[in-house]
Amino acid sequence: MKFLDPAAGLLVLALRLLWIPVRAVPADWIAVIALFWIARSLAREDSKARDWILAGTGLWLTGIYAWSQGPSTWTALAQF
Amino acid sequence: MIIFGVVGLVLSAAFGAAASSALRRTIAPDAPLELSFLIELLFFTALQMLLVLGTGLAGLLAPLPLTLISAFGLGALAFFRVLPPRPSWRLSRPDTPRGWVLAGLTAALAVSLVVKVLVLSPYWGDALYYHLPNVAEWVRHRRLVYGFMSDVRIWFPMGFELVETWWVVFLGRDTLIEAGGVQMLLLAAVSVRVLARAHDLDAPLAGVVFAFTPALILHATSCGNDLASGALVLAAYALVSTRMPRALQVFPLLLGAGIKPTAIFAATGVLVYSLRTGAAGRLDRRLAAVLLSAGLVLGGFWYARNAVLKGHPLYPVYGSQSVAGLRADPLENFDTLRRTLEELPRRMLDRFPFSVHAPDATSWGWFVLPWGVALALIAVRSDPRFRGLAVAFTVGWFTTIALSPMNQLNLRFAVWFPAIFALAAGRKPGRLVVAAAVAASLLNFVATLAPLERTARDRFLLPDTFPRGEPIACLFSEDMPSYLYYNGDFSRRLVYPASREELKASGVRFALVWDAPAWAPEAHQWKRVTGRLYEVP
Repeated sequence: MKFLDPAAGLLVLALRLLWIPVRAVPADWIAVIALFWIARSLAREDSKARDWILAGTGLWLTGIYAWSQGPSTWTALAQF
Repeated sequence: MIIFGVVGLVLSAAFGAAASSALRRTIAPDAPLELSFLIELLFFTALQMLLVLGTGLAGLLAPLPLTLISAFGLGALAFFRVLPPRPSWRLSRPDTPRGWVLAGLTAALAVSLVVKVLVLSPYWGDALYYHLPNVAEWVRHRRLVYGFMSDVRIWFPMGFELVETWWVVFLGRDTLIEAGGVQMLLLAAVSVRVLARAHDLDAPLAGVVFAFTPALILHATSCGNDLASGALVLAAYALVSTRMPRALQVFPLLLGAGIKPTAIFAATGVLVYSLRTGAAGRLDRRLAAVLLSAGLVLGGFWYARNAVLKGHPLYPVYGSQSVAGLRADPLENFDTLRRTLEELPRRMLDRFPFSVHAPDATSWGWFVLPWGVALALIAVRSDPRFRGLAVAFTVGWFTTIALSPMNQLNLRFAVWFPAIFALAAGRKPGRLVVAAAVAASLLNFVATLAPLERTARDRFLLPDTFPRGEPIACLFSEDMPSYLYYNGDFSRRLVYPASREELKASGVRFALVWDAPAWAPEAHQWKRVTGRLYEVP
């Protein structure tokens, strides 16, 4: 059971790599979520590390989202 | 006249609020604050619909009869001593800095929505084409009228248009028409708060995160019915989570069925959730019968009408008179689900400005993908009750998508779904999650302050020099945004001729020719006045 969680993340990552090249992983939100899940599963429960992993993932995904949605939001902001 | 209209609107609102409160106190006397408000808002919505449906069928859909009925209703409540002693819900003062921030966000959203209601005129495509023309024709004729134009989509269920009509009929103008959508956003957000509390989650945070979803903010003032349908689905989830009586749990789904069939599709998820949640509260049989009867009338009216007038309850999608472009094949439609799931990873990046239609995007905003997905995964893994809710949401979402065509535009049919990510945010949120939620909500807020589609209507408007009262014939082969031409006070008569003879008989001198109908293929050769406006020869 202990390795079931990281195995699930690995499976998702492996399947995702069938669709995208390895170099696209940092910009692919599904791959990032899979990596997050693997890292979080390997960290100790209720540890600070888990908080940092969530924070890092959230900020990374915010960057990915900002890359695509940011210009539109910025245009809306600039109107005011 | 305006003052009389305002008095009528206030009286009718007071009657609705008092009657809803009385009914809620009978059915759920011990319900906590938020749940009480949810149930009362649900009953208030049903009463609005019943009032307009009843007077619309009786040919009394006008300010005076509605005001008199409301005044009589208030008098009856006072006579039977069931008027609420004071408003049964009050705002509580936040006691933490975080509470103040969330309250500030809520206030900002509320103010912005009120301003939008007052400033914006209906602008969104489907609303202008086949939703709101119903409202305009009902108000003009002072009764419900059907099949007045050749766009068959006016035969879809029009439950939400009953609510919109309530907001406009007293004033005789459409100034407050978007308030119906804001009412539905309130219902949706309160439902999420009740659901969050039942799952021991942070209700204020979940409510704010959900209400600030761009798709929700934009739908609130779009005059479309997807938010109304979604709000009622969420209300059903909330009533199941609090183990309210079954008749009350089913009630919002019946109302939803009268707004859009997507509520029926989503009910599969509510059913799954109710099976997990277990025993429900008990309710007096007579009260349950009253609730179910009212729900069946409001939900089933449109299907019964279509069965009688068009030969099939699900016209124009099914039946011998169904229309090719709308005909649905449930098996074929399951391919829609596959394609939607394939496209979802790209759509979630929201590469375009947030919009109501959200073509090839989600308009789920700055919280769902960056934080909501990860938080939902954590909640599903570590909280069995949340897992049950997530499974139910997924079942309902899959069913809705599978049974809804147009996979590029179909996420709006389940606009309630992002609630699961907002609820995940409310599970033991640390300072980081709260900060991220507030920042994301602010970005969503500014990105939707000026709805993208609001100016699309401008290119269709008639010049100011054209007489406001001049009747117009609408000529089209498929559809046209005819609501734009009724004027804000519904003062212009529009006719929708289906033949040259009908056009002649109407006596109308001007025609808006969208795409020339088969019976007048030369319409574009008529003497042009301006744009698409022609003189009828």
